[in-house]
Amino acid sequence: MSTIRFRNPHFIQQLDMNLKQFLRLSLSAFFVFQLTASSVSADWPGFLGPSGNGVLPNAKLPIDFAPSVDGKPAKNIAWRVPIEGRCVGGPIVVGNRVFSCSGSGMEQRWLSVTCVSADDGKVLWTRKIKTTGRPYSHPTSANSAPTPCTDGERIFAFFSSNDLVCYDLDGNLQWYRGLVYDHPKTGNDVGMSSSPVVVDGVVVVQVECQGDSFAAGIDAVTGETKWEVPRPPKANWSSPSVAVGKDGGKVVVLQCADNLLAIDPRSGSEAWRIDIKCATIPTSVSSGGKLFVPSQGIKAFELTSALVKPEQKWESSRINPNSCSVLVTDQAVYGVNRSVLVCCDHTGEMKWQIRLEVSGSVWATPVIAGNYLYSIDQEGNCSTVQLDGAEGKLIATSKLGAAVLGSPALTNNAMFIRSIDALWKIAAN
Amino acid sequence: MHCAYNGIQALSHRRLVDLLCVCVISTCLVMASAAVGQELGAEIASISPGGKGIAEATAVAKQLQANKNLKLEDVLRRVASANPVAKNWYLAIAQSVAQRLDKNEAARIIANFLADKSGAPEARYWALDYLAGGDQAKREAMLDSMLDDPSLDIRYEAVELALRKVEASKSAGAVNEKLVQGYSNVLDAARLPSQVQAIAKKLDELGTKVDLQKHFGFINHWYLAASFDNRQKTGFNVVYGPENEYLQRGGVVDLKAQYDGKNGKVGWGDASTAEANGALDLNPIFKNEKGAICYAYAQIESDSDLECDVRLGCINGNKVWVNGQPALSNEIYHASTQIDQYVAKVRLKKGVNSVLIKVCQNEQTESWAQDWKYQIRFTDSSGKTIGWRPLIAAK
Repeated sequence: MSTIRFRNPHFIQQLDMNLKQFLRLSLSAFFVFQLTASSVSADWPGFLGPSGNGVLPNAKLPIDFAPSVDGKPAKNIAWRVPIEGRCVGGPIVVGNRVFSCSGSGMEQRWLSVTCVSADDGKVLWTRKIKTTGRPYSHPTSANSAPTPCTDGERIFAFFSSNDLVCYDLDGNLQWYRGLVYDHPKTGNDVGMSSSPVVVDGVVVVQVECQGDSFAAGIDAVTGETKWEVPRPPKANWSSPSVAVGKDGGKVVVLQCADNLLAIDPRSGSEAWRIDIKCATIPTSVSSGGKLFVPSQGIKAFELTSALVKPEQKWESSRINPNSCSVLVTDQAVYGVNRSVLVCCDHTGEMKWQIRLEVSGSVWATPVIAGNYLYSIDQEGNCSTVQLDGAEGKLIATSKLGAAVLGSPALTNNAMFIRSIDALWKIAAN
Repeated sequence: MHCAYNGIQALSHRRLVDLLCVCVISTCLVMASAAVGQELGAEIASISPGGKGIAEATAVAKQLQANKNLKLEDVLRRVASANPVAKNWYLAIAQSVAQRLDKNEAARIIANFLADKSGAPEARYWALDYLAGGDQAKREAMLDSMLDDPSLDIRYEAVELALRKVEASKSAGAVNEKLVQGYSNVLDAARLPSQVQAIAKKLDELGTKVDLQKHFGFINHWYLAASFDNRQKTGFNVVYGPENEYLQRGGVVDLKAQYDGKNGKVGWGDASTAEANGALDLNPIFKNEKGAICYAYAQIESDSDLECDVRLGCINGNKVWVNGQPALSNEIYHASTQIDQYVAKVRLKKGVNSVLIKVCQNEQTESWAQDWKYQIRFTDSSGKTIGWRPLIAAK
């Protein structure tokens, strides 16, 4: 569009033409943008990935990797980007952008979201706000403990201090909620870590502690609270998860020590409730019309319809995740408890178990890329387990040399790992 | 004449159109600018608990970030008068605005803002962070002169830097006297309790004892009345004798009174703590009783009327009243603790002031859930102890 020239005698006429041209271009740009926006998909949109089961079937990654040591070049590490502060949550990926959060400064009171180019590790932007809730946590954890989530157009970052902020992919603020402003008695000085989930245009957060506990559905576009339900006043670190029924319907599942509750994400109304004692750290996983709930082992439910109370199909105490959530493929269910990886089939029968090379606690939920499972311990030791044989086979242990507590993110050719103070891209050299 | 007239007329016509356009555009800009100012205050700052008004604020935030006429300095200045939630909206908007500006221009505006110590502490810390741009040397060069900065976030980093410098001088062979002087200077500036404790430890290693109780201003002598029933955590909201008397009498208790307790009649007895962190451990006094409540009472004297912080650290369920008014209430058991864990604004009056604490122990049996203790102090908003004198505490 040309610029307006005040000395032009045909100014008004030209302005009129310019306006028409501008409108035409704007409308065209708008539709192109809409098409682009609607076609944007997130490769790894939140904790447990695009299918909510921690699996990316077509991903092809190197089986091992190593950072550069003593002048030797790094192996299968494309880049490492230091990120100020501390984070124990995982990264997410939208297109060629990776997003990761952090808590920095005095008492980790500064909450950042950093956007990094997946291609070259260039930091595209960082945004910071200040915590309005309680920033404290056990030294193992961090204010930045939850993994953010995305609907492909917006990033929803949540923190232990119950600050929830939404940016667009370019870092423009969409909205911000200080949930302690609404619930002053909310907080856990041990730290909170429940990751948000976004479904059908609603961001669902689960906030459970000894103080004011609640779950809320927040409009992804406007930031308004669409619904809120009270929750038991007990500490709970598990995350809400989306359960998809065989009918394609969706509910959000909230688990706690008292029960398992399914909620319609659009209205917040209760769909069904099952009175079982659920674990309060690992999260339920939905896959193939089934729901796998950590509850004194794993209980598997058949979700014929999302809105109908499901029937329990089996339970197994052999697969008993301690801190990590289970992973589910079409063939099997995998769970890590401390240093042992257990595999059950879809009847709950244990098929095999193997010991991983672990030197620290395992907090990070593993991921499955193609036929390989990657499990990283707190010291940064990554066990690669081949899954396509009759039994799992530990084929490599990579030493990142950095503390990792968050679950990695996958794309078809890369794994993004958030260590305490950096973001890493693992990809074939 | 006619031609000249026509020429003037034509010229005037063009100028008139131009002038008209300039006026229209200028007016639009002024109106937009005014609207921006209104919206900055009216929409974002008025978000109420529950997120009411957030849709309007969201729309305004988008407009502001798209508004090329929005001045970065206006947004940064707006942070000062905003509530904590709105502050974050303005901070995030400021970051979007800064990103689209020419880097040198943005840096100039932000440096000017940082230099003015009357700006919002949060915005000034962000300004420091922006100007440093991830360059540690640049950050340290700025922090070098900011040890007494009103922004606690900035001060915290300046203290960290000053400590590193003292450590470096130690490695370079500085004599003890110089090191003690260096640490002492940093101690005066430090506000965060963990930093204060770390500096005191360094001084202690050099043979200079810091009276941390005094430095923090902990109340270290108390009158205690226990125990009252808290089995199954039922006592938190029960108004037992000491609490009832304290509230009924406007913030005083009769230290000779007897109350109905969990195990019989209960009276007041005094206890002191010599702990550096000011914590009074109730377990040895009340024999590790579980499902029990202890009331603790103290009086202090203030030289003036003042608003200040009451700061409590307590791993048990707790309530605090100051001068008969409720200040804190936390029904949380065994979920970590630290100095200054809970903070509330209170008013002290010139003369005698009272504080009553209700410390509730539950019945958890885990080894990590046995503590029954608290520490409390009065400070200014930065965490520096205010001047007060113990009254009935002094025997």
